[in-house]
Amino acid sequence: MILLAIILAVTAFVFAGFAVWPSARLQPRWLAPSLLAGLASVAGATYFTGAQPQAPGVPYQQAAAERMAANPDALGPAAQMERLRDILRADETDAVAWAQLGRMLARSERELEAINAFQRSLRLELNARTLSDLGQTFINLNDGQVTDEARAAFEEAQRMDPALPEPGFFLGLQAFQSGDIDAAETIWLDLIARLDDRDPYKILISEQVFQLLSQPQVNAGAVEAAAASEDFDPRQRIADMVQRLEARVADGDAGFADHLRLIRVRGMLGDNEGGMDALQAARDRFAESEGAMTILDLLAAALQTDEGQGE
Amino acid sequence: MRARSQRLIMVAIAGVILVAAVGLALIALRDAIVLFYSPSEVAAEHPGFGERIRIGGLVEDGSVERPAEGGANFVVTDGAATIRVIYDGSLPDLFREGQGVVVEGAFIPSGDFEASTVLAKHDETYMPPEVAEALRESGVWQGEGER
Amino acid sequence: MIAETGRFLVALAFALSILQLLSGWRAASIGSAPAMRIAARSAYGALAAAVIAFGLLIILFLQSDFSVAYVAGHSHVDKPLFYKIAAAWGGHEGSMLLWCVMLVGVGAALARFALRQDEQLKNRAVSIQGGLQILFLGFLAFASNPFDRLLDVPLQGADLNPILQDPALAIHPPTLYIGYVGLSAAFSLAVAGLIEGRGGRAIAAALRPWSLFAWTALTAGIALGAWWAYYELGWGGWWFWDPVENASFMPWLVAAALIHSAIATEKSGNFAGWTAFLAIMAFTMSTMGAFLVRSGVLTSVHAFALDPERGLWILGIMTILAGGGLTLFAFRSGRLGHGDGFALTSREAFIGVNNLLLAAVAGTVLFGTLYPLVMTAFGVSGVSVGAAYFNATATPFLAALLILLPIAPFLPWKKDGFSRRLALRSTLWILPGVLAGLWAFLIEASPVAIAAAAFAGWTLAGVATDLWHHRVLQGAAARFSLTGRVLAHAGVVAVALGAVADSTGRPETVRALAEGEQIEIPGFTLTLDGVRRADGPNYLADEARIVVENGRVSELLPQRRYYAAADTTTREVAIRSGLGGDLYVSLGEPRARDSGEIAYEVRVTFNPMVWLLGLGAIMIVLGGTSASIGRALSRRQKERVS
Repeated sequence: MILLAIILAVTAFVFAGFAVWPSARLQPRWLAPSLLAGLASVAGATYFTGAQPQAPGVPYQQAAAERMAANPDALGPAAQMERLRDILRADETDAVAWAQLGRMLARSERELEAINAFQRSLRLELNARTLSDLGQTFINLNDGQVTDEARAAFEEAQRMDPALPEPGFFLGLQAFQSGDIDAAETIWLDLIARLDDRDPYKILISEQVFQLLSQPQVNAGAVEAAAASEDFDPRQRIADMVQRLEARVADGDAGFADHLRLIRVRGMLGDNEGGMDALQAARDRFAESEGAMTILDLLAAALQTDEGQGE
Repeated sequence: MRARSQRLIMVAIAGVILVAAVGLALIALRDAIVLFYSPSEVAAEHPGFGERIRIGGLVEDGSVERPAEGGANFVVTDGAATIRVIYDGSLPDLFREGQGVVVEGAFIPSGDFEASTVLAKHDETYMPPEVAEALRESGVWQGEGER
Repeated sequence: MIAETGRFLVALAFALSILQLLSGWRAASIGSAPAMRIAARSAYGALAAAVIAFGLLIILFLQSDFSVAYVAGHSHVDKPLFYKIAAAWGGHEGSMLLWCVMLVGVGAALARFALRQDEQLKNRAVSIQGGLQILFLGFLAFASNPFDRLLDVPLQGADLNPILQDPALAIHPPTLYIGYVGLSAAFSLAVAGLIEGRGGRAIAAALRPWSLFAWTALTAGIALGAWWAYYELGWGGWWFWDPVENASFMPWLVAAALIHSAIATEKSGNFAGWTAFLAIMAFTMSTMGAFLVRSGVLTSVHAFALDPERGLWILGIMTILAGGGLTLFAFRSGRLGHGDGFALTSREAFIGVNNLLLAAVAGTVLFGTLYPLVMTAFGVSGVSVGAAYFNATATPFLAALLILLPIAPFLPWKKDGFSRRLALRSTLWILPGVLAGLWAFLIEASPVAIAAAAFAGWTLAGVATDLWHHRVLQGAAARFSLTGRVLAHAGVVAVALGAVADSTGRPETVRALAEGEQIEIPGFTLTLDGVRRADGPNYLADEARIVVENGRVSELLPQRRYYAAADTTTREVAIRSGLGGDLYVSLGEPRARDSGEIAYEVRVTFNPMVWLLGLGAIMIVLGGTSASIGRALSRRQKERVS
């Protein structure tokens, strides 16, 4: 700040002195000094409206160096992202930094940039984790649809690291979205069976799979047509559905998904005992499938807590 | 004498050009004036079919359809009323859902608005003044941008 | 520290301008030599301060110092070096600083070069220019200071609006501003002349070179802007009668009238008052250009941002300029003196009509541009005036101008000049006109285009005769002037023809194409060959490869870019220029078909003979430059003689 004051004073003196120099020898003697003072004070007053002499300049390099020296965890997300970008500006071939940046961008819903960052990372170094993140970003970008690009990424990720849970889940989701529910079921149950019991994803994925598989199978067109007709009774329709499911379970040609649907619909109707019965039926039927049993165990636990709360 | 008559002739020429300019301007203005409506004003005043007008408002979220053969349809809203816009040109780059837009064109008998131009603003901090006012009147927008 | 020094230099330039005003005034009033030297030194000092401040601003951009609000708002560390520098004048505050640099530059140039033989008038003009500097530097220092700081330093800059990241637009504002601000010299000289009670001839002689130079720069600036709009906005047009474009067109028209009427005033003293009036109006109109661009009072496709405080400042400045200038004009125009008078078919008479026609166009454009504003004042908001108005009002007058244009150079000053020879000669010009019209008819052009071609044939024949007839002129100065006149006149014709040709073009064709699909427009088949990623340093981009067939095969590569920092998408059009016109292709949004295929929206237009516009603009600029050189040479000759 002292340095700034000196610079400004010297500048003022040089410029004002240059301008008023022809008046130096003029009478009255005070003319030149007062012109000088006048100039300096007008310039000073103009300068000080809005000046911030105490604020140091912050060239970008300096700001980046300070960020680099700081503890990354102490920085906010925006600053962390900027720090990663700084690292990449210095070394464009840092695949890990690209992947981290991609993750942060994906988290802040800047998918296009995130995809770019993941792809940069993958061009430098193929990595199952990054491939999987790329696939998920594609899904987010496309409002939950598992596109072909996403599927390609997941397939590659799964090939590289079969232990990674997400690719399997989303590949199943892809089959599910394209209407091939049996294929989705197979992929998911395999995946759940494969996962280690301590893996937190195991429960997460099981829940998701239950939610998806137990969705009622409806034909949107038929529902609209039915809703438009006059004697439409939603309760009747649900009852019909339950009946159909029960019949199929009793006949033994119900799939795993049908069992889950029955459990879910009974649970929703408040028929907890019926739910437990259906659950038991499913356990008997799928005892040899490890993946199916994982889901059913979870359901059993959930239903019991529900019952516990109910009392 | 001579100078004066020449001056008179110059003044006469000036007069002719002035009259021509004013006349032309007034005639041309009648055909070229384009009035601005907000969607609720359209609902209240019903501008006629084929009349060239501008409509401004926000692009309703989720309303943009992009038919595979090109063009775009969307809904402009000011919170109180909505208008469906049909456009077969290429949307400007700053066109976005939830953002301000001004469309110029005319209503067609189906009740939709056929746009010949769609203007989205270059600067997203910038709201077209008419749009800002229309939105403020309908209470959708409480921005500080005074005119 | 750099920013604060820059801020201080702006303040110093402001203070020095006050000294320039006062001492220049005193020098003119009492003829004091020291006062004159102080005024000149103040102008030089202000120029140095402003230039250094501008240099410091560029350094701040190079450093990406985001503690400076203007830098944070218009730059980004990943931006290419060239655009970091160009961003220094890419936004409001920086462009205002550039405006001030040029304004003090004009002040210093007036002090150094103007009127060596009439120091009183020169000192008065330097003083008036000091007053202008105070107004604009005050606006810069107090209402739009580019060195304002942010205490909460952002991590990253917001980036310059991507559509402004373009070579043409990087040099468009400086060129335009040289033109706008160059007209301030004409303003100061005219006002000084009115104050001093000088005759019309002296004033016209003093302001002619400045006006010519400014008008030439203005032409170049407008042409660059139109060129930019043509290929960067991606709408296929180059002129939209948008308020911002009109804002630069009006001073251009007024300056064009000024450079013609000043010739007559200098030669024979005629139109003395009109010339002074035009000089005052030209710079006022330039300031209004800035007002319209910056204040956002009019809805514009180019509007920057709406800022009422700044609008008020510029409105105030304009009121001072127009109000002060015109009041002075009203009281003092009597002293300008009467001219020698002129005959009805003298060159003066034709220059007079030229001026009336240019003024008529300027007037109707002004009316149409401000009409929405006037209606708002009457409580009717949201009126806009379409391009149809401007086309309908401007075209007839401009056409009349072009028809009369070739006759004037053959007329003598003051005297009646319509001889049988001239009548014969101009009858001969009809022949090329008819031939051009016939050619337009044969290629099945529209009636408007046929008429335009016929008129253009007539005018060009006349301009060519001008060159041939006056080839015997002696001396470099006269030759440069002649070349300048002929080039500029022919250039105007080329622009007019180009405008008409462009207006006959077909509307655009828009279609969504998947890979391998085609668009056909007359004469061309375009096939989308594929789309690939083509990312740049600060944007992500899709680039389409479009194969064009019209006898021979070529490819075009339009892009669609996403600038993440500014969260903006732009399109980079691809243009294939040819003698017949430009094939103009832009790439729009991708869209998914039901089949899952991705189709890209492709927009195609064929713009006939756009090169005429560019050629015409270059000819006008070269013509203006040549005429400036001629003028400088003849002045040097006169000085040598005396």
